[in-house]
Amino acid sequence: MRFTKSMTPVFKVVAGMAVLAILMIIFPHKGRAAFEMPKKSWEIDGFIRNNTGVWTENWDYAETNDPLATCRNWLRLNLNGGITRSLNLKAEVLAVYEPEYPRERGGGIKANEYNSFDFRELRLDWRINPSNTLRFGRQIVNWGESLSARVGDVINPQDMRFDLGFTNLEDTRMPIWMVRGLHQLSFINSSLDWVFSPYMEPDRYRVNRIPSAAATVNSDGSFKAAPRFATYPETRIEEMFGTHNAMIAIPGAAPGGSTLVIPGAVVGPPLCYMYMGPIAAATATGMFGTAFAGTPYPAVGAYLVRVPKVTYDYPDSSLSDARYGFKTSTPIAGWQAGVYFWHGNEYSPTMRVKGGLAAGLNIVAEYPDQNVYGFTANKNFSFGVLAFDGAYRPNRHFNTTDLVKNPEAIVEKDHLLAQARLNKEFMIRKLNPFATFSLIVEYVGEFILDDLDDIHVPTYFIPYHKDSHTLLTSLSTGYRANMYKYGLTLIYNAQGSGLFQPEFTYTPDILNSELSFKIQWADVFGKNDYNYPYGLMRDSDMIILTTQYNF
Amino acid sequence: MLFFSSVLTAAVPKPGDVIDSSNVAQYTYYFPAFMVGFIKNGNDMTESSPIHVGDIKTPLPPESFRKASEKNIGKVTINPDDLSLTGFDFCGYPFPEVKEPHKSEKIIVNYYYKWRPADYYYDDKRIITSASQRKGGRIVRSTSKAACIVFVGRTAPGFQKNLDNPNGLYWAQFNHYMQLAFKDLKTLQWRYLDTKKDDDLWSYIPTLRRTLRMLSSEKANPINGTPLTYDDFFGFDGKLSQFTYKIIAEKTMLGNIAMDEEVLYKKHPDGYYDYPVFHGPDFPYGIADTYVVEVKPKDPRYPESKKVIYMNKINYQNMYSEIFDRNGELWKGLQMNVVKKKTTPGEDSYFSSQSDIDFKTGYWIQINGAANVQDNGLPADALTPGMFYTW
Repeated sequence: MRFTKSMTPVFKVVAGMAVLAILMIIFPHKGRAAFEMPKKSWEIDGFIRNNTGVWTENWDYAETNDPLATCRNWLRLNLNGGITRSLNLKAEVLAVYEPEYPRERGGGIKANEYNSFDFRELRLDWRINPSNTLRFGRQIVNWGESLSARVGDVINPQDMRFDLGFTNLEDTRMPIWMVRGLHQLSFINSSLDWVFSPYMEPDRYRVNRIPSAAATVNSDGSFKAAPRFATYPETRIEEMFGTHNAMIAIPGAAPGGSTLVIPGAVVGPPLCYMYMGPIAAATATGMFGTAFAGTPYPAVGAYLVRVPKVTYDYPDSSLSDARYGFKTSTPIAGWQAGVYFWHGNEYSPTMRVKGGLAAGLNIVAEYPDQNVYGFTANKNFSFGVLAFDGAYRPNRHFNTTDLVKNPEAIVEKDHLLAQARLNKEFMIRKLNPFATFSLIVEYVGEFILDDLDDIHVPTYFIPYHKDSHTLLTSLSTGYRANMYKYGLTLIYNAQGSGLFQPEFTYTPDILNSELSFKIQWADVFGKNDYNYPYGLMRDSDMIILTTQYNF
Repeated sequence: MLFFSSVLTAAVPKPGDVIDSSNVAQYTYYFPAFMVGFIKNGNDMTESSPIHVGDIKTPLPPESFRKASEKNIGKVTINPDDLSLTGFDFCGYPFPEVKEPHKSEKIIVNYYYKWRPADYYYDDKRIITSASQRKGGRIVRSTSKAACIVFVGRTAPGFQKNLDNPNGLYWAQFNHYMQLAFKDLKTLQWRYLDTKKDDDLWSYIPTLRRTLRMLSSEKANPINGTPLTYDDFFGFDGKLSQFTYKIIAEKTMLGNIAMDEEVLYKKHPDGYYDYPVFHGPDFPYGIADTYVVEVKPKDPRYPESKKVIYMNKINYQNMYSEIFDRNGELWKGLQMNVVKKKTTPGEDSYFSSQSDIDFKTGYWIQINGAANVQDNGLPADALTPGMFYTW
């Protein structure tokens, strides 16, 4: 945590919240009876976990096809307890170690890139009374109903450097500093959950962490290495031109010989412009000019890679950039329904081209403000539980490839995420006479509510669609009192990509059944390598063994 | 003929008797068949479990509850078709004197509205402990906590007023699982006053950091791979309107009807009891008159064909429950163990824990929840979907 002058207003706000809490105690409240909450005893627990995974496919762009996909080792320690009857401490420490991976060697990945030792959560809970709790500190908060997508789950940024089958969203959420209030408002039979979170983390923890840059290139044009969970690097070109070898021109340039150039137009996402193919020095100078910021060039005859100068405009610690929001929940006619609002920043960047391309490709990675307006609802029916979640973001920033109409490569569109889920438990006695099958079917739809204007996923030639539909189906059951558990998950996106993941978990009853072994096969499929979202990773199938001991 | 012959040849249990594998044949009348098996040879799950008969009396419901029950004499009527009551304010037994007509129905509503503390919870001195064992496996121990608030029918001194109840609840029950494999999994169950309305269930899943609405119509499904189901709690905890009821016998039984809490924790300070059924000289059984009630589901898809529950006539605590599968074979046996207690205001009371034994899988679980703290003034909104996970 950095202490800066700009945090003084933040402390004033936090102090104001504390005053509010005191007022809540002073004012009579139905929940504030004579009852005193029992003091929590102190507990220490945690787990040791290992994920070991191997790739089942080779990468045609990697120098080595060593199969080691992951060997992630975790130690999580939790300390919980009551300092007083009303004040509790929760401290959760996470230590992670991963070795260097052969497929990433030489790919610009730093040593200790994935290693960490830090507080995952560190908070003080002030249980004012059974109807009012304030939580101060570093926390993870999850709103919404979706299990497979981040619809209402808007508060915490995500660590996307490790991903796929062996993680769930919980493992990738990054904690943030916040004050959180949880209140039962008896007079309207509703609960209220609010969060106020100024940016107090270092920059890189304020937004989604993503794998560092794309593959490095050898002088002969072959690829050296890439971050393990980065997408196949040439998808950005292949969809547009049907080939890895393409030329992308800036206005006015007309390199000879290539029919793939679109004269007078600028194509491609702003972040990365590549020319792959032998090039003579004179041609290079003629094409790109001599003033070319931030780009080293290999020798003549080699492949030329042009990377613009990129700066990052992270959210700052000022009050104006603070995040805040609230969520309600009310029982109405058997439904549990509520609304939520969140003001924060996008956690994935959009790229703004400053000064135009001719000025030398200065790109600013921005994390613009966003407002999220959402609703949730769930109800128990005889056939199962239905749950809904919707998140509307007006004027959301997207990157466009049409830099003629939008020289800074940014457009604003209204955006909607909508989710519907069915949960059901049932018996199939012929298959399992003594335990239930759990079924989850979840649909997530993503909608751009305006014209598309050539919006693309930043850094890749992956176009958005006006609507995108994903279905998740998950089925699981257990035998011998859950000594053996089987699960099957299928995710399918209507664009033609998805994930098929069977898994088996064995929990022997040694060590008080706290040791478990899970094996999963993450089979990513897609029509092609640039099929969003899963096709990008379709060469990244893995088999993963997860061993965990709880203590 | 067999029934009469078993009565005629049965020994009459008296304090000081020890019933073990050598003489259990004389006492079969006083136990359900599965208990006879435990005494004889442990049912191949555990060691043989001898029962000591003590001078044990059934604990009465608290005096405030008994007084409230007396006020209902002659005032309450029942519709036998849907078991709805007229003239009942939820305080006390609706029918403290059980007579025909509709005796079975009156008994079951007495059971449904039996005494409960106005609220209870577990502090950190003593929590719920359970021991379980798969067939051929090792004993696995786990812990949990719970809290409960009853919204109507509160008779405890100082807590007679019904709580504000915009959701029409009878009670709200919270459970907090502390077994490390699913640590801090928390559940909330709402039971409504409307006996036709399904319960509502929520689970706070710590790995999701979110509360999920759970399916409550399938309350006969096993919970987390154990033999427990929501409908089996306390021997029978299903929705009144979803079953039919018939008294098939009234008989004297031997059961664990009044354990001493301090003896329990003196002998087992950590609270774990690593056997399917309580037995031995430390936990003597008492004699009690019971109603034997056959409970059958109206839904043909219900996994059980029937339950037979042995209900103590004095305090309506079940002593045993036998559960039969769709083929009519014995599937599970439940033993309820009643522990004598005192409420916070000082009334004599009790609380029931249970063991569940699944004879099809050979899996048993013994839950010791004796040590709750009763009648404390928990406020109405402590157990709501928005707040329960903050406990």
